[in-house]
Amino acid sequence: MIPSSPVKSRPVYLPFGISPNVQFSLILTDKPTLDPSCLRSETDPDTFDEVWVVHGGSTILPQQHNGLRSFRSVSQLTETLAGRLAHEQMGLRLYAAGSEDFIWKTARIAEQAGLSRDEYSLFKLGPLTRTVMCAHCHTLTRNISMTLITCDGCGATLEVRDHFSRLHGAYLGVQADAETPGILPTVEALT
Amino acid sequence: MMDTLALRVAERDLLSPTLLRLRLTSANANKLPSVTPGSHLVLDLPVKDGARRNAYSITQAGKGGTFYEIIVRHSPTSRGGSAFVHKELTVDSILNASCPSNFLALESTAKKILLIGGGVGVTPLLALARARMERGETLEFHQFCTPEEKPVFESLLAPFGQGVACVHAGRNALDFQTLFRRQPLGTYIYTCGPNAMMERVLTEATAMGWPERRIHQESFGAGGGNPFTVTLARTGGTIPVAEDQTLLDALESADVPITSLCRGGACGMCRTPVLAGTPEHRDHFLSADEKASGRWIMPCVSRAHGACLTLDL
Amino acid sequence: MSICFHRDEKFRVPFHFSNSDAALLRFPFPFPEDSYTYSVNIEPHTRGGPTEAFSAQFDVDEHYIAECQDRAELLAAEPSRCTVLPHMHDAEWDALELIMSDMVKDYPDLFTLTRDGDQWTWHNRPLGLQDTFTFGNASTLPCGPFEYITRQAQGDFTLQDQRDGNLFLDGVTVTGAADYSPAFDLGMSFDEWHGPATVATEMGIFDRALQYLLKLQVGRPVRRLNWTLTVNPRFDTSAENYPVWGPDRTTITPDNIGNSLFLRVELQSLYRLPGSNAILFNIRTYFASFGELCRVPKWGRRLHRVLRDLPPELAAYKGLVRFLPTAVAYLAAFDDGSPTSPGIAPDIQSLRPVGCPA
Ligand code: HEM
Ligand code: FES
Repeated sequence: MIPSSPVKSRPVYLPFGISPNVQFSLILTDKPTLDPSCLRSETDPDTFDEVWVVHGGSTILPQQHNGLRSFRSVSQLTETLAGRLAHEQMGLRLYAAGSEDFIWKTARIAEQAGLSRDEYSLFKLGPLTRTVMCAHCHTLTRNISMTLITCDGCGATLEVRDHFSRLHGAYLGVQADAETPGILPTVEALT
Repeated sequence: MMDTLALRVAERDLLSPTLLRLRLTSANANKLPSVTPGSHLVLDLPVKDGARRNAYSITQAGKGGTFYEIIVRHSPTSRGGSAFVHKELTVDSILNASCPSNFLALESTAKKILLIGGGVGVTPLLALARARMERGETLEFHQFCTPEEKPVFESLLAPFGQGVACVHAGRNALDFQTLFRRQPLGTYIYTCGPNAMMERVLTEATAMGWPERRIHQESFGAGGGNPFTVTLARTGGTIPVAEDQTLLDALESADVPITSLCRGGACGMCRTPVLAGTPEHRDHFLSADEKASGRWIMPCVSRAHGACLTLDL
Repeated sequence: MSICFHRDEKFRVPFHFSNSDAALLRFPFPFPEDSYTYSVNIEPHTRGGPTEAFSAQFDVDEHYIAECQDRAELLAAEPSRCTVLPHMHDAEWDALELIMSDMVKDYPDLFTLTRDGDQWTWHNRPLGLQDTFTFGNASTLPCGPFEYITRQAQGDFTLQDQRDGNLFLDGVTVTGAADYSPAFDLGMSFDEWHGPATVATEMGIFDRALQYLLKLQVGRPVRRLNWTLTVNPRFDTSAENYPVWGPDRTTITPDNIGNSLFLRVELQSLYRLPGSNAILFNIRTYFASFGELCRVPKWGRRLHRVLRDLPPELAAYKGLVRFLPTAVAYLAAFDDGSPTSPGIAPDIQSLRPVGCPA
């Protein structure tokens, strides 16, 4: 038997860490319950030059206090981010901590702005849920925690794979009973 | 293995007492192979005491394969190659070259490129800058040279315009930290020149948070190396391996039967046992342990540390 | 050499496909030895090789017209099968120039290209096309340059951008995916799009292949062979349509296997493009049924040994498990135990008329 390794496209999230030698660092999070001071306390309080948090609520104003900035929604944060990165210089490091959907959304904005994979780091927080892209109709189904799901688009019963696309921010889902309609594997919780 | 090109010197233009620009065309009126900006040619130079093979960056290539241009510095420490180019080559001289290779190509998603050249290291950067300019893409070009040569380099960089290109006389004429700090996200550095300069660029930029992969240095690949001799333990011959030849090419030209496939250190077909001497490993096939043991070599890419190697062939 | 094109072939229901004797003898049989496992089986893609399929850079054979037709039908139904990311614009033109130049060089009687500065006229005789366009100006072509040329060449094509020490799958014309989804894999790096091939990953195949490809040079293309088994001569075994073709895997019986099970070989070639520095990848797919292959005694014997001894984890990855025992049993009748010569050449000049094993 030749052993097999894990699927290489599946993201591996390292424990929270920061790189030395940077000119400017910005951390983004969609977890309002996660007090930003707790992120900061992991290291030196001055570790991050700015902290951007999605708090939710339509009355929040995008003001900045001591490097801390609050947002109404993920969309508001990502729009602001794109505009901001267009004017930033080399030597910046971007950190995103939060749900898998959120962190890959920010990664795509970062790449469009010219950051390489060495210049941003992602940390997954919260429950082990996945977004799944249906191989057959390309619909995204969110908040998945089991190995078998029903596609929101075409209704097929999909087996959730470990193959992950950064572009789509989703795992691949393939019809579980394609060869033998009606015969399904047992459902398990995703790990 | 290597395809060769026959080239004719079409124009010869002395830019300064030590810098010679040559325009080369095909000797047999063929179209020259297309090249990516940043490519270099290896010229066969028939100097008195044998042959020299020197790599020169192509500073400009004619559209439709009409010509290549190179600039050659006559260096006092040259082992004869550049002296030969300066003294012996005239218009209509014919010489052989290997097909161009490129280890300094442009990256398609770069928002901006920052070029830093030292002396004759300007050559590949000229081609990169020209390609970016033709596509209307952003660049910034800093060239270092001696005060005497400032006018020559200024005329070479003139096409890129003031504000984009700048020539600095003396190595401390520019503060790298200020330069690196004001570059937009998505900038790549391309540097070519004296090793000390390229090292300084790398250290200062990485210390400021630039990823190493965003800094490209000209290397001309790692094709050749020091010459050495191989002894064949079973059949008893000795074979010289020239500085520009691979061990596999040398074995093949001596009719030693050896299987090969990829000729690039990946497939593992040419793996050969080593009995004495220390291999200089350049392949991606052997594991770290196998490399450390010194018991195997991949002759398509690897060479010897030292003057000889004994193989179980 | 003139090619007698099979115009009426169908690569979907109702299937209609066969190889002439000449096409079978030029088949790029993928097994140089009696056993198979993964390796970095890359070699220079020079004109000429063990069978005639290696004579050209982009091989054109008797299935050319029918394959172009199959691609056109699928692109009409699912246009996303051809997708190129915006930063690959230069690479598209590069690919068009390379493919046209090589097709003209290898098949001067089938294709001609007249260049008058940037005004190019391309004449494709088998498909009856003639177009004049301005090189570099996509609005002068009926579709994008990459789509235009890949509609007129056999096999799938992908464009890989090279950056940050990796290759990225940033353009595809894929209408014959062997069990993967090009739309899902778009934008991935070399190790990511190969992610599902976990056994080859573990063997270090992809690390070595990537290092090799990053150094690929203009004018020195390379090739390798890959293979799988497909039920029916169907190009579109994409992940997208798996529910459509997947049930076929349960239909193989000792009676139909000779006609219904196909060895599917990909002659993959890779080219560094001179303007953009991207890599063009051609997955040129060949089909031969088990019945056809066994007419070449060496191939029948060898295929039996390879499949009989195939590592189970490879059989599982390639999706062969349901019919592998039936296949091995069928092939056993063609293996008399005698030795086979090294290499893939058929070792015969002509085929015996169709019949039973000797
Ligand atoms: C650069 C262009 C290439 C592209 C676009 C490409 C694409 C792919 C894809 C899409 C798969 C299927 C993965 C899946 O299961 O989802 C695959 C499999 C594979 N590829 Fe590549 N590949 C390329 C080059 C190479 C090279 C140079 C090698 C050299 C060894 C290689 C070796 C393999 C192997 C061994 C497999 C598993 C095949 C099997 O068992 O059927 N690939 N490739
Ligand atoms: S020939 Fe492939 S490793 Fe040497």
